[in-house]
Amino acid sequence: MDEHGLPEQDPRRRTMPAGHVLLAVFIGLVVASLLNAQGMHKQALSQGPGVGREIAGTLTAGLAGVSGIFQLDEPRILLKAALGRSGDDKLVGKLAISASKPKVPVATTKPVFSATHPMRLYLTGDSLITDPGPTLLDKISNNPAIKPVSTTDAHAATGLVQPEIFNWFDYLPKQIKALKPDVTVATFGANDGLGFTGVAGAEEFGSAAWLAEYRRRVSGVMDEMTAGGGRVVFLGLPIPRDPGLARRWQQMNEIQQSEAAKRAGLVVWVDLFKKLADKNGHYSDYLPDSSGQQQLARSSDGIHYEPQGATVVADAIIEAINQLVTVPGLGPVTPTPAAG
Amino acid sequence: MLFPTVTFAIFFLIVLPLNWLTMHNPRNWRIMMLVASYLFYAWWDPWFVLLLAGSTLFNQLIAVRIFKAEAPRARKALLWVGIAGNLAFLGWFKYWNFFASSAQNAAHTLGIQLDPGFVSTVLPIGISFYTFMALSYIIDTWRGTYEPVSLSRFAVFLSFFPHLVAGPIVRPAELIPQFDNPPDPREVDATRGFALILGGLFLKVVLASTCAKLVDPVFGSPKLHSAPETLLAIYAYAVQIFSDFAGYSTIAIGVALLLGFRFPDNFNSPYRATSVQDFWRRWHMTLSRWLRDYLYIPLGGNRGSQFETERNLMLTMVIGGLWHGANWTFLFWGALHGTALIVERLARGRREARGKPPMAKWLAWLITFNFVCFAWIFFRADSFGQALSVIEQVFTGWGVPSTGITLGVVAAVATGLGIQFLPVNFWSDVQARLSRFPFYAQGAAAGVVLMVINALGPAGVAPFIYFQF
Repeated sequence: MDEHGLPEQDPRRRTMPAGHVLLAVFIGLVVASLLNAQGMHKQALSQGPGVGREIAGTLTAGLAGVSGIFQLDEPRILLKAALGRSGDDKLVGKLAISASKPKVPVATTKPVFSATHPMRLYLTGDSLITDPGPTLLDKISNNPAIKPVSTTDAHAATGLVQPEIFNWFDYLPKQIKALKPDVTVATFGANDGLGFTGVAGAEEFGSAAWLAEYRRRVSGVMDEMTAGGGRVVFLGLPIPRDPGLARRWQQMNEIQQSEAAKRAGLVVWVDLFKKLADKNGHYSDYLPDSSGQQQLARSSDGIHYEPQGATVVADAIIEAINQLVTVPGLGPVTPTPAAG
Repeated sequence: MLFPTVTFAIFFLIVLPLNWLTMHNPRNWRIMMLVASYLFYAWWDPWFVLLLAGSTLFNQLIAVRIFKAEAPRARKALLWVGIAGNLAFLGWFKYWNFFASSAQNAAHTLGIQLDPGFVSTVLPIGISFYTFMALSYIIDTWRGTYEPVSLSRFAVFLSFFPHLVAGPIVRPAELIPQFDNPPDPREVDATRGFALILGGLFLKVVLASTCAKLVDPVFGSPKLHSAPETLLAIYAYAVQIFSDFAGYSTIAIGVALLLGFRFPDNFNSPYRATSVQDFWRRWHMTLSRWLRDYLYIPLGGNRGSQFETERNLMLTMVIGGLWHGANWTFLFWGALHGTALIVERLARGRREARGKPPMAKWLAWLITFNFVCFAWIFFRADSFGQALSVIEQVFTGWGVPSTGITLGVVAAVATGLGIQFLPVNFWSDVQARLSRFPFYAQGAAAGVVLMVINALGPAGVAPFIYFQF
């Protein structure tokens, strides 16, 4: 240590000129980029919309091409395979919505569950299910008439707009078939406020073609989840802090809500704009709990949830489940005093 | 801009040559570094830069006025204005909602309606770090141990991008003199810089992210997890928070080294501590030093009665706890550590008075480590209820399947704890050996290690935990 308490240089360690440092950093980044090209390309495409995403996508596509030609991506592929994560870098370019013709069914009877015939519950979606999922599971953990079929199956930074990042239309049918849920709670859309690219064509967010295609995908995902006869609680997008984002999400909520309405009895859409707004209908970081105490509800990004927000959403899910099915012990939730 | 991203890599590839090209002209270097650091910060939100610039101007003004004032009362008054200004700035963004909701809830309990209003704004990243550094500057000026420097020097000191968002908390006397005595561009301690950056990335991307895979679900819904899963999650969180924060600090120190600057060390194998006092000499050392020199000692330190010393210890730890976040759980975490430090002090006194030998080292380590892990439960939990649920589950969750315990998490916890017990000179020996290789070999090897780190890390690496502080 020197007189300021800073670590001194070990005399055994050799130094190098600044020019060599720059070259070494450059070589290191080039080598890493070539070896990691596939992962970088996928990461580039998972960015939000904008010029940055376009440039990164183009550059990394070229890099992945070069890496592939010289098989420089092999070590990463082998390592991922050894870890059992071969699919990590997979890019899916083709969107197959198997339930291409919406059935628009109307369920007339409410299934009844009991301790001997418990309701199989599945929670899935993007990062907005990450906090409410465990909160809900915690609330129902003592109810023998409900059997969660997995822990919260959240896939952050995914949605319906970018199947090349994560293809829900490929993933969900397999999950539904394997887990056979009676009720699926799902949330999509938080990462969907961007233009379509790839197979669906380049459509700017909000255009008529974009809205039509998004409707087709929302409709498709609802059909995938109800294909086995299960019911769906489809969580709407929550009111966010950013007004610009709020406008986009309201457009998407309208599509989700109207598609859910076509599947009355099978799908219930939950209005989280209303549930998470303050008494004046505005966004608020804080919301009152059941005793009227103000609690932090939203995380610092103005999108995700803190415990009180997760509780509000979990309670809204319970209300929605009660509309779809009959489960003993899953009573009505006491509404919070001021939240909408 | 996050360190483990392609964006930062591109940014650094541009800043690194500019740094060395302008180094011979300190004025040009300061302009370049200020622009680079503000750009780095603005990447999150351009609005943050205005706050940082505002804090810089305010603190520079106060420091210069303190320095120029001759009357002790005027100097002291200016110091208090500076401290109050900084605390108000921090309080508004970080603590207003916490205190407002606490006051509203207390009033509600008493049947009184109170509506102080909530601030709906984003917490500026790194605000606690640079506010503490700014406080050092004005307090050192008031003490006469440091003279204010030019505005551009102070602005670069406060915004220097390697430490800007999560420390280490550097003192003016440690960094500003380095700006005026530029390092020799022919002798850069680059191998250590590379090793620290790669080591930090490994800690963050591989260990912290892997541990989070168990920690997040267990703390999210404790009742759904078995006792072994919960126990492992508690230890995994100890590894996660260390890997996350030490990872960032290590990268920051490495980045600064490649630019030719030295930062103080911030972590020294904290989980090999054999007492809580020892732990605080190894954990977030720059914050511990700051709290000691600017809070504990001014409060009286250990110069008063036993009660006063204990009060000072407790106050320092409680405020240190609250520095980490606006939540009662952080305050309680600080109080737990304060209590442990007091108990240790009393026990040591009694032991010495009775002429008893110190406790066996292994036992002291076992108690310290488990205490620290226990306290982390309150640090990690969103509420006391959640913390108590986690603790309860350790005792009641037996006989439940432990599906969350994976080889990856066990290996991450074992690695995270194992590296704490490496011989003291292990890393410096490795670095000395690696430094003998030519620069291109070091660069290529770093590229391969980067690939391995990237491939081992789970998808979706979360932002650094300490950014929120």
